[in-house]
Amino acid sequence: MDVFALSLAQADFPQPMHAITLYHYLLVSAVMFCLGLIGFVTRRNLIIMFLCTEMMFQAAGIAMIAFGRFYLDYTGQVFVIFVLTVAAAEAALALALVVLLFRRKESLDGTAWAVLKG
Amino acid sequence: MQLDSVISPFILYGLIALGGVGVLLALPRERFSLALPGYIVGSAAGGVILLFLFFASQDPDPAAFAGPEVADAPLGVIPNPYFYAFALLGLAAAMRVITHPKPVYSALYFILTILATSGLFLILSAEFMAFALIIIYAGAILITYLFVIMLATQAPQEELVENQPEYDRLAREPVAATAAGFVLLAILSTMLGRGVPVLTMDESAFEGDQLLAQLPTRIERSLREEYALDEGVGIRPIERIAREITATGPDGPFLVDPMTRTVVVEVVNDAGDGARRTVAWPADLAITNPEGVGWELIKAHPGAIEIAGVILLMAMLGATILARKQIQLDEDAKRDMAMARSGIGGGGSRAGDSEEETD
Repeated sequence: MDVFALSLAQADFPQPMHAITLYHYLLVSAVMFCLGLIGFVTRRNLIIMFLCTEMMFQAAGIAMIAFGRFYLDYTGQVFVIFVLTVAAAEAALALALVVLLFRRKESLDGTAWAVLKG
Repeated sequence: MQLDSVISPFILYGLIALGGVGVLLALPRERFSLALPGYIVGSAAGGVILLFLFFASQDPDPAAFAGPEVADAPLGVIPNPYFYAFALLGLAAAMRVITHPKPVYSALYFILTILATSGLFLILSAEFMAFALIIIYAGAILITYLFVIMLATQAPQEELVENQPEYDRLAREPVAATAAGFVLLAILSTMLGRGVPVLTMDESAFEGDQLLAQLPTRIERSLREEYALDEGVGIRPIERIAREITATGPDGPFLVDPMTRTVVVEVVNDAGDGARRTVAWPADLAITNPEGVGWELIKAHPGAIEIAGVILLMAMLGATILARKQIQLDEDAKRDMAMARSGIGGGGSRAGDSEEETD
């Protein structure tokens, strides 16, 4: 049993994949997700924290499109459209909140709002 | 264990640990910055993993590739250098995003990550998503982020990192967070190699022709273009794709046959009894990526589109209402805040008590 059973190289739809397998894409996706996770936990700037969540969205998008390509199915791409929608809505709301919080304390420090944890 | 055939698990874990050390070094810290060695160590670890993947996929034994198409490919397989370029670029930029002490630079590096990701999407032949990603993410969302960063960041007097606020200069729990993240990565990369043993690909699952059969005007347009180039083929201007004749007249479904890739066309006349003939589709007629995505979107997820529209509307309203809320600080709160910022006295915690809100 071989990992290249996961071969993405499917004839010529629309262009051959040439030895790049699903595993390659999933690994890139996993690395990017973990970097986003580390960034979310370690950075204290609210804006950078939200930027890191967007990075995790990207990683999920890579995985979904790679799976969609593997199954020659458009559902993965359609799902990424909805992820983009949610990301846009989240960015608008989160940034409005960040501006509001910044006006109160003149600081983007996430720990300045530690009082919220109750 | 399938992972063995690509890379020894211990080497993989070693490299992942090395990458973790690199990220840990690169995270912003107090005194002296170890960012540069961190970047070098991290990129080296990522690069070596990609190199292993590269050489593993150079396997000269075509039988190692389960896909029958690859087994038929002459003389091994050609590597796709763009994947490695985009992957390394994207991950290196992602590392810069989470480690750069200046938020503006982080956002700009995130744009680089997005560009690399859309490059990967292009290789995966998801052209529509690749360009949508650039337009929506890099063009709209990230610009909003940059606006807010510039709005909410005090202009530093000099370009020195020491002038950055403390929350940008110091990472929170760097060791624990990096360890947790990279342990997760090690587990994920193992599971990716063994938890998904064989993903067989059913080629008949791709219904490009069936999908085209749902779009008769698309076929008709392409046939008319073919006629415009060469009058011997395609359909003449006086013809159109015929419908099946039912009891009430020729108003049944369009006569399109995806199996033989043919359509039945008829001469247009008022009586509706024009001569019919069968015409083959143009040989190069294929569904394009935006057509496929759009069709899937409309056919399978019509409700989700409506919900997405409502979400966007709510986000717009919410953001507008949130952003126009005025916050006025009275004199005490301002003084407390100034003291807290300059480090004299711990007045910061009291700042919240004497605020007034107006709408």
